[in-house]
Amino acid sequence: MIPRSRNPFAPARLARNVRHGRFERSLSLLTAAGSVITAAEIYLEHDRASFGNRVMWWPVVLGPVGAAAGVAGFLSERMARTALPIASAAIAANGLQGTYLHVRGIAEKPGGWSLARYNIETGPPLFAPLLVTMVGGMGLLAALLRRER
Amino acid sequence: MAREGGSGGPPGTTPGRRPSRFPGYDVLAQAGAWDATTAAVVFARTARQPELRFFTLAEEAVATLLFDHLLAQWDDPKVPVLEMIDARLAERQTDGWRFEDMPEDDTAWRLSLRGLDDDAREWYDAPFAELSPERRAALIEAVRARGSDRWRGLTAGHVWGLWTRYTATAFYSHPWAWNEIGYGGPAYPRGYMRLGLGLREPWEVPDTEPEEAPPEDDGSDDKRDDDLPARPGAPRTGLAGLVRSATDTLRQTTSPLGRVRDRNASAWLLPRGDARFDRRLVEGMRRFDDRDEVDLVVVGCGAGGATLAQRMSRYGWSVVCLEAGPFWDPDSDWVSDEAASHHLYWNDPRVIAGEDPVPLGANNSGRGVGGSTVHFAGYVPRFHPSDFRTYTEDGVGADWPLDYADLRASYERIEQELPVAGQYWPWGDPHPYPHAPHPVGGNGEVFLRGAAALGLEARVGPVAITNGRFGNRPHCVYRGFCLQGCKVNAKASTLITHVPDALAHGAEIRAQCMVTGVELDERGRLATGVRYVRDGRERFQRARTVAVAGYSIETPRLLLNSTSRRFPDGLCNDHDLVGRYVMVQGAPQTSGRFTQEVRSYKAPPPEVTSEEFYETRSDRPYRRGFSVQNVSPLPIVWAEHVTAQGHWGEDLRRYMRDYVHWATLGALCELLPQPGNRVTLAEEKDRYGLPVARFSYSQCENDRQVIRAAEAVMEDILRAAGASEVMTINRYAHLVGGCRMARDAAHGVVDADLRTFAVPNLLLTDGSVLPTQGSANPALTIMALVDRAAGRLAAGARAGLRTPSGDRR
Repeated sequence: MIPRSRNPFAPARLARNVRHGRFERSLSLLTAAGSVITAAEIYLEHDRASFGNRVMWWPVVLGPVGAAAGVAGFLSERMARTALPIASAAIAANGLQGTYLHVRGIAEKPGGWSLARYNIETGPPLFAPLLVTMVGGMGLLAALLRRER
Repeated sequence: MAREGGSGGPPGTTPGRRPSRFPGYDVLAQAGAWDATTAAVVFARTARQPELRFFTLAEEAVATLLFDHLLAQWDDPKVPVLEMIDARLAERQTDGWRFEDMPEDDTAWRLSLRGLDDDAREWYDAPFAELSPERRAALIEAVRARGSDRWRGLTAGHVWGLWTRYTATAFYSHPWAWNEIGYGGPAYPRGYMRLGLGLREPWEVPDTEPEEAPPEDDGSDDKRDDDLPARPGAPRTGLAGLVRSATDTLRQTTSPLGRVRDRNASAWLLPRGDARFDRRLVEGMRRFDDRDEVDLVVVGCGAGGATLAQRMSRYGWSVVCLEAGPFWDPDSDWVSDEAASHHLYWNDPRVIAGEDPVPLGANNSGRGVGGSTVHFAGYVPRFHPSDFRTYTEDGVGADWPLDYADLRASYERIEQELPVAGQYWPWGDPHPYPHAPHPVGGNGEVFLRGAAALGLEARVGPVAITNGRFGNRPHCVYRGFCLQGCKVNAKASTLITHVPDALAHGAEIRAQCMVTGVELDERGRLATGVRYVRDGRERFQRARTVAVAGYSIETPRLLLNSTSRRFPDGLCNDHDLVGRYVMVQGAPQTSGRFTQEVRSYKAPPPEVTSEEFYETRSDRPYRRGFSVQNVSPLPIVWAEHVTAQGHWGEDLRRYMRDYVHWATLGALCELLPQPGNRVTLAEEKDRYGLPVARFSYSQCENDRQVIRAAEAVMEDILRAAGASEVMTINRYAHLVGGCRMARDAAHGVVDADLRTFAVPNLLLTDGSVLPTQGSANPALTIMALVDRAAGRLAAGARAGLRTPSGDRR
């Protein structure tokens, strides 16, 4: 059964494309959106903590970079194979770096791990940077997929 | 008859085992989250108390019953108040200062206890101890009711203050009393996480009688007809203002921290782990010999002294800073406890006098490296541009020899080094802060709510507490013990913001050295160094430049004590200006009762401010104005609030059980500088053989009007926030002036570069140089003045004599 619609994002065709691993463009776009949303949230959270370590700007800056790469990957297959995986790898790595820094921040709160519950709840959010890594992972995955038909 | 306190008693013990409004709450169960130093201090109170050493048998008989009456303690287990006060007096843990018409505390205790017994014999023909409780209570109440009249050779009001201060301090330092009032107790290393109205930590217990309105409402419902002043030209910002505040703030958070570090690396020189100060910095400190002629000797290591030492050692000068108190180790010297933080204040003898004598201690003195910044609230608003020319603009006070613009860059530098957290500041010269505003606790929330209801602008900040990492300093944990010394390293004190960098650049901070005199050369033209006492022996440190930073009482006292042939009336006192124009801020505090739990002991004590009433306004009869901040009294200070209203006995206990429901605001009122408010030398001598300072203070009519207006505004704010009852007490805060700066020698002691007019290589680098005080906390301005003066001093270093360069302003 050949779908009538030529629009690759029409529901029926989209579902078929996804089932066949052809959703590079949509996942690129999703990566772009995810980058912007996480970067906005990180800006607010890091501003609350005064950007006390200027490294805290990195995930904020990487947000627009990921967005640009995602949109580029949506528009161009070449970009989806070059810019997108590079930007996504940087985002994923930044998430891991953030996890390390947040763990260190918790450890350096008064009482450290001996007050683990209190310090995890009031310290830098332990798992939040891994969500950034997830966004980067999405982009990396997108770069490996087939494009929509 | 040393009463056994038991070993802490069963869980949740309250004094007299009364049923608690916080059923099952046991503060001692949280001891696992306390640091060892604090735990030792608290558990010592529930352990067996030492035998009596101070009170005689006769005094003990009266004192025991007096304390039971004052605190309504009738049933076992009792808080061992008698033993605690006895130990304090035996060990001379007194405040040091005394009213001019009162003897020192220990003598006053003996006289007043004997007086009470004499009263009993005179009225009822029997010793106090043998009277019925009703008669004893009547005699005690009679002393309270006398007010400022004389009683048994003492001033009754001061006796009452003595009695209630000591008993409330002892009682409300005890964990059983904390159980009774639902207070969280020590909070380090674990701080608080649930800030705000009606919020509790997982381990806190809700009040079962939140609605209980304290009885005996003394008709305080009479709404003041003195209504809120018309809304002033509030800082309406508009879109342009919003954009400006956003970009200014962004510039702060994106500017590289390396710039701050290159100027002052203190925050990066602190240890990262659980220790709060790197002892190797002290052990490896450069040490000078007394005979070395150092470039600069600084007297006092507080806000001004430490800043100067850091700046000048950065400029390559050899610097020795002499500090009378100890070199603090925050881990072992400071505790999360109100009563045990007494050693942070200047407790040497002083005499206070005048019509409105100013008690000294917690909120206007300091001791040890860091000075009073160790226990200041960290509140650091800038002065307004109008503060620098009050005489021209308002016809009161004095004009400064410099303008706000001369200090702006210094303000910015110090704000980055502390660093300061707060919302964009719309008042005075609008400016951003490097750190974001802290979350507010219940007390701040009440203020914001009340201000919003009245249409008043109120903002969060500015407080010198890290809100995020700064160098190796961690984030604040909202433990609420800012006034007892920050064990987290989150709140700025010069001990951690300027001393580490000074040490790393070759300065010597010589602690436990009391300076007794500034020496001049034979012709009395230049200072040659300072005499000081260390380990009981007098020494002399030679120096090419001398800077005195002993604050508004000790700096004038040192100058007045440094007489010579050239200066027979005291150093730099040619024009009889040394010690004059000392200022304190009127700091009335108004508390309001709320049904919701406020639990004001969490979060930084002052957090929210309104400066809407800062300047002179045409619709008000007084000149200048006040600012309003929230303050958050811990139990002992709260007990002072309650006793100041005349409540004692059962009444006091009832108000205290209500502690978690009260929110408190405090005003800082600009009281005007007056020549008669001055520091002079008293007859009595201290342990170094030097005459002690006598500080006389009286308000003028403008002062009284400003204070009244501030009280009315605070009551309005609290009522607008929903308070069911309000109470106001009068107190003072801060201390500046005494050696004011001016344009010429006839009007001041120092010039705008903080150099004395009389001796070119002598500087005064502390709060004593302020000609007016504004309604802002003074620490930031003191540090900014010193930052500016240090730059001028360094720039003039090559001009022969080490004096500030350039044209004299």
